[in-house]
Amino acid sequence: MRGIEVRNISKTYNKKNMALDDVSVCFEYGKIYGLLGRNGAGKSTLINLICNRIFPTSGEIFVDGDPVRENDKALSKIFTMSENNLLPPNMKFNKAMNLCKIFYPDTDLDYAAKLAEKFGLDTGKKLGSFSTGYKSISKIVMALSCNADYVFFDEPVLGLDPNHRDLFYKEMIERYSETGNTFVISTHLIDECANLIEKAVIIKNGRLIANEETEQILSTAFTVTGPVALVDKFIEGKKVLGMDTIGGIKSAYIMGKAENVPAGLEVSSASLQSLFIQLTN
Amino acid sequence: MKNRGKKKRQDDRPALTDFEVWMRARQEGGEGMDINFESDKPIYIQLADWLCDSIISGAIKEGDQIPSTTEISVTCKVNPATALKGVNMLVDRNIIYKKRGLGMFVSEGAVEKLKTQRQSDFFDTYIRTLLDEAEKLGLSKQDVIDLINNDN
Repeated sequence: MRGIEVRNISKTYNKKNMALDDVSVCFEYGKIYGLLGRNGAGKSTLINLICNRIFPTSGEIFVDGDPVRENDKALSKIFTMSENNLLPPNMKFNKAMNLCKIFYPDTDLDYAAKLAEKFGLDTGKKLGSFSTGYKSISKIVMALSCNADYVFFDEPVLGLDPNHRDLFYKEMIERYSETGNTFVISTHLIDECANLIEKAVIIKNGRLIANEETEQILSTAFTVTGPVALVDKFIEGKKVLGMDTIGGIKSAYIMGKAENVPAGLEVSSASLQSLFIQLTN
Repeated sequence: MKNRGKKKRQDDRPALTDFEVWMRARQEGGEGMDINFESDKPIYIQLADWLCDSIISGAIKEGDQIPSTTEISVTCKVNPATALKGVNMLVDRNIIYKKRGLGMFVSEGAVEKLKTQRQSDFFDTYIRTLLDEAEKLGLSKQDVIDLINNDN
């Protein structure tokens, strides 16, 4: 099976900060993933390990069966868009795209030009001179046009206005439909991408707590809302993830299927974002 | 002369259906489709419902081509697999059919079929909820009937 296999990866910084603790996860080829976790959960560490920018303390990572460590062939299948600016700030965007083409020969420069135009990106400008939003956009353009088999986006929409975020999501779906490549998005704006991602990988304090189809995750929980006494009675003996009370009304997030709900209680499915908050609190 | 006429027709872009006009307007306006992810229904079912609504209202007519799954997923910002699942649900119910290499089209008789289905669901989806809400508010069945009769 094609995919990126992360096998029992642990990463410790400075011999004491455990960033990842025995994480095993597989990113299958041809899917859109959401890599979710709170600040400092270890998302970026995982991405950086996968693209071999840093080395694991223990464990191994394989790309389509080949170990990723110092392996140009495996690494040429992975493109990572991260917050760090790794290219020289005085390099012009056009030049950077040409450089991208050298490392990723399948890079579609025509598409990159079209996409840059859609975003209103001035391709003659130096990378360092872009605003925060356009820095993200310049990296998005590169990531979407590189045609690598596995594209990782670490906080892709940082500093983007709603219109540009919308454009990014739409272009990504279109690109995904055309190429069938794998896209992994790490983001905190869960509501915005919840419908896009087929599978969600959730990390909490360096450990993997979920790796499932989004629909599957959503079907494991539901919310009931109603008068406090009624809700309290209903949730007895049930696995409750969390509760919110306002006035005499209570909402409870419950694991399991919504069955035998008494009249007077409203049932709704949990959103990925609210579920994420309950799971990672 | 005959040939020229034919050629001209070929050059003409096919007329857009109401649905396409509407969808394009939404796309250009940067609006997505109104999918409420908090709703009880999974997204693919909501997509299927939305397509059914468009068919019943005549926005997409019988025999017309429906948007591709890519188009649907981009417009609604949903995963293509979700869009495909929604469309396939309608294919299974013979509301739409696939033509290999051409796309998907609304079946003949789809409107009738959908209307029959919705009519039989009407009691559960609307009347039942209406009566439940009326009971909560202390309105009797007769009150509800009077309200309906008073509505012109």
